[in-house]
Amino acid sequence: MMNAWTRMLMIVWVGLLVVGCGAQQSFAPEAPMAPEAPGAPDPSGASPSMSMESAPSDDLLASAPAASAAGREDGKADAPQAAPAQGKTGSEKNAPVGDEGARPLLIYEAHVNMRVERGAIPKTIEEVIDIAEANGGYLISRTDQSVEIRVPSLALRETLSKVESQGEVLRRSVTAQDVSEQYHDLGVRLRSLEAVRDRLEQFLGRAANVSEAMEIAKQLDAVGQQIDQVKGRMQFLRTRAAFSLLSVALEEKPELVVVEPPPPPPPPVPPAPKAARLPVPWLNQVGLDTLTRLPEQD
Amino acid sequence: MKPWMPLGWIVAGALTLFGCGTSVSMNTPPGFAEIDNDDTYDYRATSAEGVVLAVRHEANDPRGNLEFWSSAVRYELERKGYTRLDKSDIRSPSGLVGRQMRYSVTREGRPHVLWVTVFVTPSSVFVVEAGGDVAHFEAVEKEVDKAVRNLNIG
Repeated sequence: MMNAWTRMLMIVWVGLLVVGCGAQQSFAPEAPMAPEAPGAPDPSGASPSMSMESAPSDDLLASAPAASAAGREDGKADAPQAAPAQGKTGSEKNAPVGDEGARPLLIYEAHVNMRVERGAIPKTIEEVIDIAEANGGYLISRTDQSVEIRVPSLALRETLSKVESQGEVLRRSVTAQDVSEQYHDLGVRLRSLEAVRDRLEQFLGRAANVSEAMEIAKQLDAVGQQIDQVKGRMQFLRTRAAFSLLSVALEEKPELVVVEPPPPPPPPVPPAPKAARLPVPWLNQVGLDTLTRLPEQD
Repeated sequence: MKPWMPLGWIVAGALTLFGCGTSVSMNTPPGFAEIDNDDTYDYRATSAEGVVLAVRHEANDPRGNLEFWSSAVRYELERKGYTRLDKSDIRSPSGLVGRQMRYSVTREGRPHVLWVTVFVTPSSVFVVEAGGDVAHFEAVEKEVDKAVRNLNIG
């Protein structure tokens, strides 16, 4: 049977362990962070964070999931379920992130600038929303000339293709952010916290007195909060990887102004044909000039 | 009776008979006064406002008909800048058909009119001209027209 000193030492040790874990990074859901280092092997060939300003390469879209299922959400740290590829086996689907042969956890974002017919922007925005919903997605935001949707990552390629068919694509970019390492680190931390929680629960069961029990309970509460934060962050990353962002900006085709060419100048009117002057001198005297020239008085 | 008098009558008759003696006369319209002429016209009269009426006759040489000489006069006037307004055929009291052409022209910034009537016989071409400022001519137009239609061509 443990004496009081031993119990106190264990409580102090647990407290130090809890405090040490709490000094690590914050678990507040935030915008996806760029991976801190080159992460887990990428069987799909996608780099940790890729950005493409021209037509999305088939490689990038090929690494995007093309099957129909969305990621599972089971809260398990070692099984990020987003974006299983077509044809992969179950073991590969469930392989822990970061392990050799495991698939990376990728967050996809696509941005498209398109030109449509004059007056067709509202109708096109509605079409984009309909396409998103038909593919299991939803509307995030819309303005007069743009719309943002999220669709299951597995349907991103098909959705992008349908959206682009609504007009003339001016610019397109698809980025993939690899958050595998981040997710893996969160998983490790979660396991560690859960182990601490389990131990504290054991200590609580053996508390010698009320003050000791209260101290353990306080530690348990803190650990519990940290576990919730880690789980929340992991859930956030899984959701982001499961549903890809697609933003579409629209503009109208410029109005074509048809400049009518000026009418051709009328052909010059040929001068009237001139009659040859007859060798008749008196003809030249016909007219007002001679008629009205009166003789001068002497 | 002097001895040369019958010969003079014979010569005058011959001249008259053979064309050199073709005569033309016009009644001077009211408001007009006949004026002495040089050799250009056989007859010329003027109104106080400057409307002039005149007749001349020339040899039908080169030999032409009414169509020929009226066209020759027309081309000559159009060459000088006259604008034809009207054309019509009229008949003299002796039954000779003539062609009357009416023209307009600007002189000294004012519109003027000119009527030219051409009669043609085998030996002669008769040209009747009447013209002046529009404002003055319109006042005597009827008298001028009557005088032209009553031209005596002998």
